[in-house]
Amino acid sequence: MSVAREQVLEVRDLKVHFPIRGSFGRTTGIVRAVDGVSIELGRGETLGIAGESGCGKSTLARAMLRIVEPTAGRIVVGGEDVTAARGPALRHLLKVMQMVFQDPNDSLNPRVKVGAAIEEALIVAHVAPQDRPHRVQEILRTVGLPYAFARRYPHELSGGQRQRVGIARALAVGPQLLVCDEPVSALDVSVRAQIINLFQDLQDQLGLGYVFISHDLAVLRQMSHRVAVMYLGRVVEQAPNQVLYAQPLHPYTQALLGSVPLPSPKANRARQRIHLVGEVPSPSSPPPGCPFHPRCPIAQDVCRNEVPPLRVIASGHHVACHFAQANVWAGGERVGQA
Amino acid sequence: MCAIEPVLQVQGVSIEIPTRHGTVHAARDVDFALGRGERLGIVGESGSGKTITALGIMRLLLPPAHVTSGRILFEGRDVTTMHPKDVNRWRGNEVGMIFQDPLTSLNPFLRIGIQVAEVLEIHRGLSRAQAMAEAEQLLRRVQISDARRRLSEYPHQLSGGMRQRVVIAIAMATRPKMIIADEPTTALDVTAQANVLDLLRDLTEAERTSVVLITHDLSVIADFCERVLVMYAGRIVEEGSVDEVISEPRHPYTQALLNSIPRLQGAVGRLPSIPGAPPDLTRELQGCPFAPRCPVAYDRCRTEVPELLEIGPGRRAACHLAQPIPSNITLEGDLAE
Ligand SMILES: Nc1ncnc2c1ncn2[C@@H]1O[C@H](COP(=O)(O)OP(=O)(O)OP(=O)(O)O)[C@@H](O)[C@H]1O
Ligand SMILES: Nc1ncnc2c1ncn2[C@@H]1O[C@H](COP(=O)(O)OP(=O)(O)O)[C@@H](O)[C@H]1O
Ligand code: SF4
Ligand code: SF4
Ligand SMILES: [Mg+2]
Ligand SMILES: [Mg+2]
Repeated sequence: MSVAREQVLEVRDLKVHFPIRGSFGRTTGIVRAVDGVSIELGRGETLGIAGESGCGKSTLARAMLRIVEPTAGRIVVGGEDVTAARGPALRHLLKVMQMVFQDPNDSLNPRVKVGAAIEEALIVAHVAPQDRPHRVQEILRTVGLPYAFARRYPHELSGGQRQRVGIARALAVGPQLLVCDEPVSALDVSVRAQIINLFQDLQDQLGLGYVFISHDLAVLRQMSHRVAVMYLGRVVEQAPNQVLYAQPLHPYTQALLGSVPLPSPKANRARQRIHLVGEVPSPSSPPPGCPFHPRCPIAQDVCRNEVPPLRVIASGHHVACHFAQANVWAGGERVGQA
Repeated sequence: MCAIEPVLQVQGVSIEIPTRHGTVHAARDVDFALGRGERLGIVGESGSGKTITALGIMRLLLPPAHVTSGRILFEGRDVTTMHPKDVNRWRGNEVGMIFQDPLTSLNPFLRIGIQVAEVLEIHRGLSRAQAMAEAEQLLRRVQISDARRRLSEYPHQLSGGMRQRVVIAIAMATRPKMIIADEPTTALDVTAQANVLDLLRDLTEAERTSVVLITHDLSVIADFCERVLVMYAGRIVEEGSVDEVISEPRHPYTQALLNSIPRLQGAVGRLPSIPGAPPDLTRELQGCPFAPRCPVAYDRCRTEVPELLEIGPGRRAACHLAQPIPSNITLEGDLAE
């Protein structure tokens, strides 16, 4: 894994804290949306990011693209530190790294036709005017849309087609890496499969790297080379795909895997589903010690006092748990067998 | 189909929506029954007519959408010809509804407690004080922590999963005989989904409430339902017990849907996606609507519409290859565990 691969993204100890403002604009607390995340990504690689709603996935993505300002830490993209980049350096960042959103409606102007929307992105990338029509056609073909779609408005497209346009726009600048925030979560099963295949084809053709965010662990297994599981603003487990799904060692990862419904009634009955009780604690008042301890079945005193560091268990397998072990949930049910 | 004592009988219901581009045939001759205490799933791609069918059953279609033929019987009473006043009473007292976005069912400007209590006052005739006490109980039953405090909170102060559990509390408040849940967990993450489904199962089992659960996710059906209807282009194309339909799908569309689900187990290969898109519903049917995407389509499929026929006990399929009781068709291997 570690042999001289070309690194396109390195995020070190990234923190994004939002002030909570009370009356008169006074700061009454902080939301630790991202609280010390380190990830890296090689060329042509996919890093999956999993976690429940509110664990900081979108904030991490937005910080990497500098849509929100990081509070601390470092972001290196294509060898350049872009943590505080302005002007030309920020434009460099956006040429290398682009974002694909869950709902393409959020990024598509309803009054701008598909062709014009892609052209906008080409203008930002300084593509010469005479080359643009040809590039629009090429990009539409790349994402599997006929050229005739250039004249359509977003509302004249299906959800899957809109997502293809969202991807087309992101590809317009010729990036090396896409940060995809729940890009298939709003799509139904068959369209989802088509878009997953499109992402994989693009990776094969263009050598794209993906940071692929999804709360669906089955989708991540299909898409990723490695998966990082986030909880309350931190990575609690990270491992190559084969390892994470075969031998998850963090109780939270095991719980997530145990909550995924399987497309087989027999398999669903055969396993005991894990009930992750309680809500995710608020990131404005995270519990002391291990952030997962209020929901953890094997929590000990040390868990309530000491934050477990992200330890290396095996090559590429990192776990933040004082008692990292397989199958911690009662009943001996095995979750996430590979 | 469903055994004794059906709560709901949907008989040959068709729904059309006239538009500038032609008439959308959103539901075509939909026919099924729902037993007491039964959990029935309706699955299909986006646009296959699941929601429209549910709205038709509830007499909630907005014009110009309308039922053009068929009957809907609820405990033997014909809902299709019921007076609008009686329809309102029927819906309020005997049916509960849960939608994908809990915010469409909750009033953003009213506290949670009032919203639950109001339903109890109207439909169970409780006083405000009684209703509030009962509302607190109900919130506890849907496992909302700190129920008393939550009574005075607004919907935006709750997480998506909690909001959906409040909607369930409201839907169950009148002790309905049937719940219609349209994509109730699609907007939720996996843990919230698991909690909502478990809760819905426990509550409806305890009261023997029948449930129609609509989703595009066969995994959710496999987890929650006993029987399933597969819809395509406004028609039911397959029906059977969840166990049988998933382990031995008889319609190529059902098989294709199953194949396109990413798995937690087994080898990871390219996902067999269904090529193309569902057909334009303004067209009259010419042959099997799935034919352009079907890997085993043959001449007859392009000229003759396959009827939905009984192919075994409690099983129906609308495919020329699935009748009368044919030998097994296997398409790209059987992926169901
Ligand atoms: N601008 C902001 N001000 C205050 N808090 C914020 C802001 N943006 C995000 N948060 C909080 O940060 C936490 C993480 O948010 P984020 O949206 O990144 O989570 P997520 O994993 O993407 O969740 P979801 O899956 O629901 O989108 C949440 O508690 C959220 O409420
Ligand atoms: N108001 C409307 N006007 C025109 N077509 C509609 C309208 N509502 C729904 N349809 C069409 O009816 C069909 C079925 O819709 P729906 O029941 O919402 O499907 P599903 O719930 O399975 O996504 C779709 O083709 C949809 O485009
Ligand atoms: S550190 Fe302790 S509380 Fe946290 S996950 Fe591990 S065992 Fe559970
Ligand atoms: S009738 Fe023909 S086209 Fe339709 S599903 Fe069966 S085999 Fe395929
Ligand atoms: Mg998000
Ligand atoms: Mg729908």
